[in-house]
Amino acid sequence: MEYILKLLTNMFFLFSVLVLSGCAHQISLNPDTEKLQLSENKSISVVGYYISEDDIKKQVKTPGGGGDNVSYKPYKDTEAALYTVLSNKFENVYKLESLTDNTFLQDNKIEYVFIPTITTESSSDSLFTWPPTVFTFTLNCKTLNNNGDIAWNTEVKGFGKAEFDEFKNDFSLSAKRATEEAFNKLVVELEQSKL
Amino acid sequence: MSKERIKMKYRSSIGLIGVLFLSACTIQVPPYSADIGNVSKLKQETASPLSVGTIKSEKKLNKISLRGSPLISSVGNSYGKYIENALLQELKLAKLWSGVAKKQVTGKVIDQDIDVTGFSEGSSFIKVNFIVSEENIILFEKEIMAEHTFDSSFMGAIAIPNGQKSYVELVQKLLTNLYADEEFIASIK
Repeated sequence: MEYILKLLTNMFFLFSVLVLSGCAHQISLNPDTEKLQLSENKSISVVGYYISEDDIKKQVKTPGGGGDNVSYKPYKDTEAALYTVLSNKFENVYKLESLTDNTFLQDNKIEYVFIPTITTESSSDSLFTWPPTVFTFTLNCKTLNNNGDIAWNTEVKGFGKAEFDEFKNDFSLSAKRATEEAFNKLVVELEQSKL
Repeated sequence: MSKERIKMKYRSSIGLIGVLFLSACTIQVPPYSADIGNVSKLKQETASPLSVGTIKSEKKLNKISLRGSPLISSVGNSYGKYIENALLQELKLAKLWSGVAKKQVTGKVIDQDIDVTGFSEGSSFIKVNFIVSEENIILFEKEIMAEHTFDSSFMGAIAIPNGQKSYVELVQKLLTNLYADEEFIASIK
């Protein structure tokens, strides 16, 4: 009897490990755009931004807790935040489908084009829950002028932390805190720029 | 560490797993994230300001069951409010929103559901009757529908959050379909 019980316990443990570990859980990085700071020094320039189709579709997996991963689309999830920050600062913002469409750039009087590059890291100190407790979001923004030269370049980093009691209603909380901090830092960088 | 403390820690860990994996507690839809494709389309088509009125939704449509876990709106107490907020966000980003504009968008959620019973794929749909009016004259009225599919799993811990997250993309598609309607665009010009 004891042997059977032990066998059943081991089988259950093995099943749990196989079923519950190594999964990729979907989260969203999009911060609440209402929480992004407004620009005080507005610019009269019209700008555009370019994110390639491959980047928009890019799905990234980074570690969560308990041996699981989290999965998300960093460019797609934060596109609205980038658009919001740029439209709070500049007169008008366009999403560019191509970097080489000079007619579109000239017709819309676009002076600067922003090209974002995003890198992310995540981790969790929990053995039992999968949402990340720590998230880092790094945003590099290269800005080209009319001649295609680099007019401005900046890198901002946001850190987000969330504990179980906080993230039980939003599994993406640490990630959203990280993106909110990074985009608010971008607002400050833009304020200090000469664009 | 005493045996009693180890036992307690073990019990609370099991409880925690239970909360995340097995429970049927009420969960909320994530906040709406504006679709910039939608915003660009609006900007291309018109420069006339628009206000957003009430989008109604019946009580029975304000709770969606995801394998027994009730999914509710994160805006106000109805999915109609969530769609109002989604419209507002996209109109504001397109710089077309004005609280005093005479032209107004209103509507009513006719039907919606999210199905996460599938082990590999989940699906969702929504049907909303949108109305554009100006000083009590109806300029546009049509049922707009959207469908969405997403990855699912036999594990509730994956299927339920995926279903929860899918509502945002479903509403983005609903608004894409609304802005693609030529009669809608003509009515807001």
